Amino acid sequence: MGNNMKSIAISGLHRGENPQPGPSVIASIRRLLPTFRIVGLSYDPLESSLYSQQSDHPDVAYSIPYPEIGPDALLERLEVIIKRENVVLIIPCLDLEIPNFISISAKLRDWGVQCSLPTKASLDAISKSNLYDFCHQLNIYSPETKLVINELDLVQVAEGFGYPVYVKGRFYEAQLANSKQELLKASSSIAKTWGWPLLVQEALIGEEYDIVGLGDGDGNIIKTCTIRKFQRSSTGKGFAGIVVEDPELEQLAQRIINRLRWNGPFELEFLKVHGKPHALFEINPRFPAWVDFPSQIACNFPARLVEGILGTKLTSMSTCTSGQMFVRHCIDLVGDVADIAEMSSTGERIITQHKAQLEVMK
Amino acid sequence: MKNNVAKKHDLQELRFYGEEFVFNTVSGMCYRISSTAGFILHSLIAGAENEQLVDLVQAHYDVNQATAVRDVELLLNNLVELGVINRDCTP
Repeated sequence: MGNNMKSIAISGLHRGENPQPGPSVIASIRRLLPTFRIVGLSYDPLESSLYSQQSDHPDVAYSIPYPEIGPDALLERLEVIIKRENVVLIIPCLDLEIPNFISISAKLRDWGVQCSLPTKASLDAISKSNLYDFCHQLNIYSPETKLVINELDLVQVAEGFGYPVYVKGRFYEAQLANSKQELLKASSSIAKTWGWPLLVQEALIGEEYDIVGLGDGDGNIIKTCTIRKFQRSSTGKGFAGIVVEDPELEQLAQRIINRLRWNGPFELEFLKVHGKPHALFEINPRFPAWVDFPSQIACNFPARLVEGILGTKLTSMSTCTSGQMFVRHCIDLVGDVADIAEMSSTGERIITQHKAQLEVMK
Repeated sequence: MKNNVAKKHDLQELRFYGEEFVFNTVSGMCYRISSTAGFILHSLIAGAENEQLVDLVQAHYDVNQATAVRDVELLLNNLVELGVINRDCTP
């Protein structure tokens, strides 16, 4: 059945406590482009969208190798999936996998598969370890950040900044440390998962503003939506956001994207300390988990990305207006251990609920 | 009152929902304020200058001048402290 429909493959399928963007991207695409089949690229049989009964689950899911195994293994696995599912576009949603996808993008194009990706140069420029220097070149305020290779280095740098400081993994996770003791505990925990080197960043305490957008690859922004995070989880994730209209932030975004010649989705994360300029502390090279919020108010970034890459008619995107807001809601999804067994054993699973819906659509 | 309060563009950032809830469309901050603070903000948005605020409060709430001066000063300080408005200080 799936072979006749064009498919879009999407990763990052878990919504949990630390929500990944995949389900949000799926829901956004289905909102405007329901004729595409959605193929989930899964790292874990317990990724929550595999159990969803709403519009944010894939039609079928395939397990793929962890990013640290490398691009060759990924390509080998994708070859099977692409042929079986008629995949025409891949939207990677996790930072860690993007370098692998960049490595194999030429081969994917040979197979007729487009991939929404930044260039390697722009990805390197915005890495956590390079971001401070990038901002310095543009005269944009950014918290000072240093790469540290061991505990001695870590403590020296942190004491140079003065506590509190953030200690961060190269790709994910950040913990605030108010003392040497907390610093060592946090670094041990992060290094256990993500390894060394780590990053130490001066802590700026203020309001957080995030901008989701699409770059056209020529230095221009197609559209943005800016929010203030006004409710955060214990891990700092945004659980409620409200649209703001700040000309200063818009100008900063324009300068950044223009310099990077950024192609595809991005998220810019700023902190505003009272009396100081907006500080850019992170750039994410993919959609954020909250991207379905603007999609629900007629500003659909994932759909626009798909239309732009595949050359289909472009749906207009409304401008999000200040005061529009979202609140994240978590629900319990029903599944069966047979679902885990199927995914674990075979590496594939058809999401039968939606299969039935697709039959009705045909 | 010696200080000029609130540049016009800062006031234009404010959006009222009823008389006692204000949303800043640029910072994304929300505030619950008293009805008197709301009256002062509306007066500023309508173009009132510093010197006029005391008279306006005095007339609206039927209080004596000393009370009006004290209340206006206190409320303006509160609004500045909360970040609802900025204070543009001039000698």
